[in-house]
Amino acid sequence: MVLQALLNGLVEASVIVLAAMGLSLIYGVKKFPNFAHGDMMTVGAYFALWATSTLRAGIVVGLIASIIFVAILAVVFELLVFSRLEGRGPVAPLIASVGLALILQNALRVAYGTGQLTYGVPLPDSWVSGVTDPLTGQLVWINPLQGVVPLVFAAVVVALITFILQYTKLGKAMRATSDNADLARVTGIDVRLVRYATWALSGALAAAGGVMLGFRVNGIQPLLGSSVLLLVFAAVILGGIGSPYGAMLGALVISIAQNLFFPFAVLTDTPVQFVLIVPFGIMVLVLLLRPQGLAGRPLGFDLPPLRAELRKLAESVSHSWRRLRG
Amino acid sequence: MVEAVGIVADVASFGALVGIFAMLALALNLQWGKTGLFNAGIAAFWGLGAYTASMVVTNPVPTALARPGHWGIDQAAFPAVFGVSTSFTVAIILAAIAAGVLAFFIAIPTMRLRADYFAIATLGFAEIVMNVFVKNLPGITGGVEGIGGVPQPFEFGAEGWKTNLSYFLLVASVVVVLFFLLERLVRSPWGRVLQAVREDEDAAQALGKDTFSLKLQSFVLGAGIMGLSGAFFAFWLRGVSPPPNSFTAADTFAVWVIVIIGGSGNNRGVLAGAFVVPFLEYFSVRAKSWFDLQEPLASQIFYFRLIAIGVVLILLIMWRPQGIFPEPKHVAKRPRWVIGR
Repeated sequence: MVLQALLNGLVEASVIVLAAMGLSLIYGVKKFPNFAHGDMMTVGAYFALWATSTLRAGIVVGLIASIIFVAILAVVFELLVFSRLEGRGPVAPLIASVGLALILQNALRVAYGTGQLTYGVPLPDSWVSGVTDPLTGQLVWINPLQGVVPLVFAAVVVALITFILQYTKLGKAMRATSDNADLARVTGIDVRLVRYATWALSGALAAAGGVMLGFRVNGIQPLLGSSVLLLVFAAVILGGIGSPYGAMLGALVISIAQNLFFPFAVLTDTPVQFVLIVPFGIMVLVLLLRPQGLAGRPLGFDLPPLRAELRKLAESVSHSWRRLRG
Repeated sequence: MVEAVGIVADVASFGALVGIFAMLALALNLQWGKTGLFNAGIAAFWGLGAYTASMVVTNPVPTALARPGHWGIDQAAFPAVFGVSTSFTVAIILAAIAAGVLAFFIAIPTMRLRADYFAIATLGFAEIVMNVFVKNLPGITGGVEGIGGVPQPFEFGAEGWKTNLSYFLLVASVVVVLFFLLERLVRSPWGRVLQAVREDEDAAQALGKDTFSLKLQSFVLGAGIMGLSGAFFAFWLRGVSPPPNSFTAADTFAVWVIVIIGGSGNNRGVLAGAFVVPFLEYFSVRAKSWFDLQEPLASQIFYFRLIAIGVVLILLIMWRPQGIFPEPKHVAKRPRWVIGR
């Protein structure tokens, strides 16, 4: 069961990593948490569904079409909304992204209803390996559609994104803008263009993640993406906000930790629904102990040490207590 | 006559919902408008208040029934004053305290974070509280079914309009008291320090203000008011049910819409804004019969309501971030004789 959980965690990480990298790119360049990212994933999943069912395209064509569509959609968001909120701190675009999330989610509900839909791809039999799990003695299995496809696809995409960020001019410009937008502008980088490119890349990653999530859970519904948003945020924060490589690591840790909860839950008789506590607990711990994340550099703002604040709090409580007693 | 009575009952019920949202908005206005705390976990404080109040005012359900019951206190234990059980007073106070205590424990680790991190953290906490704990502890909270059969403080049996009207008057008076209390508070030295923390935390700290403790006070007080609102919501709805029926992130952001429409920092403004969300709620429920809507549209109108909220949120944040009623500048009154110079 532990081996199986590790494998499931790896597959889940492959979906989360796609979303987390997209979210992290935007957080780095635009400096705000995009709450609409989960719903951009859902839009991607539904667009692929529309392409395969209505246009009768193959699923591969549907996936590519969906990636292009959501990338364009993300650029439109920047054009219409987020570019106009530039320079107003993280809160204004955050609120706008919440509004966007509400619009996307409910537009999908209007268009497709709330039922579970699937891509017309028949679910193949699972591959059962010869490896037995040390804890339960069961054979470890993986489903080619729900497991192998997301895993391979995510590996390819992660390699591609790493290449773009590391070796292309655009990727370097993105990293520079993420580090310090003013400095990037001074060195002649067209920051505006970089922002559009980042949105496009983020949207493409969201769509890829959404379609893969649709495969993984074998069902598409309007809350598909927003149901994993907290997980994605946890991965991004664990990795260090604005660091796509950190997001990869964060996604891996969060997903595996979450899947290891299931054998733990069975052993200790805990309701499995409590699983959400694991990624969130990790997230809170990271925010407390290492807010810059695993791979992030120090934050651009000061964070007073927790211990000092708790001591101050205790002092002020005891002070008011003394005053109350006269 | 029947028509008129029906309208009174309807309007009173709508008014009570406005009052309930007004309490939430006043509380968020204290936290965000005055102190700059991005509370994205309103649903949890509201929900905890509603659940606490429901548990106090309902009789325990015998566990022999198929559905395991939540905790409850035998109603006979509460004496009645002027024919109204004191359990309601106890319920409201406990609801506020429960939400305040939850806020305290959430705030300790998260309060020092910047607004955007704080938003993620509080949203996550709300998700954990409502979707994990409340939903999966059926022995205490009724699980996915929630708690039903919650009474209202003034029940007039068949004369439903009297019940609704008296409840509306109760909620309205609470809102009025809260409004004046909060207006008084934000004009006090304490309120001015909160505004200083919002504007420039470093400067406030440099002046020797304990900003962590001040933010904590504001957050806990606001959450307590949200819990209070939750208690009134539970009485209004005559029951509570967990997400996705109630206490979702959409509720949280509905309150945000109210504050942003009304004008963050302006208590009068948010009172006016409090009409918007209940109006959309009522409109989407009633539009079906008013306009004789056919089936696909009749159920889709609920989603159109949320789309409208999203559109309003984006348009306001882009074009009028200060809201319809901007925050008034509190300047010390000049002596009368200065005017005219």
